[in-house]
Amino acid sequence: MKCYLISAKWCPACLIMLQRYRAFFAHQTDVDITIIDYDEEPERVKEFAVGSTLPVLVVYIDHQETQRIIGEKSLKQLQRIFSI
Amino acid sequence: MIYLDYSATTPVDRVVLGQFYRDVKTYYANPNSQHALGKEVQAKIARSQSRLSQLLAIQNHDVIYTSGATEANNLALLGWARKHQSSGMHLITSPFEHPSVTACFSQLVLEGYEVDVLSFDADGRINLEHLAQLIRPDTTLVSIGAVSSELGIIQDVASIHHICANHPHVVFHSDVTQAVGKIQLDLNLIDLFTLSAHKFYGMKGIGALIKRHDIVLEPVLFGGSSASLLRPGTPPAPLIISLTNALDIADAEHKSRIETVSRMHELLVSRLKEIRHLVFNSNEHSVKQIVNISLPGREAKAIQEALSEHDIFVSTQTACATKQHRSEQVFRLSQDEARATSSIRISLSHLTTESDIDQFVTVLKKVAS
Repeated sequence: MKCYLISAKWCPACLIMLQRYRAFFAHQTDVDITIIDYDEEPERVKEFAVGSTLPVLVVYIDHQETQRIIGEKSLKQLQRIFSI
Repeated sequence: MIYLDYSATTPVDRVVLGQFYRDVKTYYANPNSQHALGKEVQAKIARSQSRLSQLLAIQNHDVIYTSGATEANNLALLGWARKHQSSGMHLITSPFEHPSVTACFSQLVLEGYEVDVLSFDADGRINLEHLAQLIRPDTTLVSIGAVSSELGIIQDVASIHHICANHPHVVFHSDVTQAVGKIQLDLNLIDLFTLSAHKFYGMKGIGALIKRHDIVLEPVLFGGSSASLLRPGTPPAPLIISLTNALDIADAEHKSRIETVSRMHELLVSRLKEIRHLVFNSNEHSVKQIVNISLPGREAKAIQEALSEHDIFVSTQTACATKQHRSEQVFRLSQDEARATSSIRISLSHLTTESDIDQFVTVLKKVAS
């Protein structure tokens, strides 16, 4: 599973979710997360057509986008989303 | 023109500006120079710094002048965390911080630090029990702003100090930028604090990190010894003096300024209540200078633009975080998307008049209808 996390350094929800995603996927060796900085990489951000709420986790399986998780989510919500 | 964005920045006080103009012409020598003029400028800075410490009523603190609070926050947070990495890599902050604080923590997370973000009550006040629970043996720093920039909520600095003081390995940093000149605060309760002159009618381009003598930081800028090893570069003597001058005036006029602001706040709040569906996001714990409201169903940007067309200036969020179309702080507090996307911050000053408020509310009513 390939994930792109679009986040900004000044955004508190991004600060929280960066660590939460890392912890959530810590034991899943098949998950690769690439962080894209909203301010430093505007061209890459454009490719993902993100809306006004950060952060955005875009999930790809077999090169197909399968999920888009927007904003702050609790651990329980992540467990529901990923059916863990 | 009606300016109601004083929490973003303030106009420079005329006396401060006049003195600055004279000082620029008089104290232009490099205070690091060993000739008589350089030494005179150095002495002037020392006197100004001494007066600043007196005005802030601080003991045992060093002043490191910076370009503003953003740089000061970077030096305090990155400088402390990196210097004390071997003691621990766990840090604690609040979700209501200025972007310059949050961004430092994000950077530190990328460097391998762990950052916990505190929970809060319905009024946006930090959950002190949560703070006490979160502190671990490897925690080295707690950073909580005294007054939040968007909602103006005042945090309980004394209680935060007492919790941190129970853990000698933890220092307490507070961004007091929105508190200086607005509320009385015992700054001796804070190990490191940061401020910026342009928030209290001083010049842009000058701020300070003020830290307890015994606190050791790693520099984030390099360039040799100057006024401080932590902040290389030629000290801008006229700006340094102007910071003290602005604070001197703010101190002398504090009572009358607060009286005027309180009166304007009361008038504004009572008039805003005439607008149907308007919701207040700031509350009784907010400073009188900041009134944050929402008009659910309207876009904040559209409200701001409509007001701007009438020469009335307010802000939608902290000026440094306007890329998102909603206020993170309002959303966090209300969990209401409609409120977060329609919130505007009105910030008052002793310069605000009844006529300003009357015209503002009249136009806002039209915008809201």
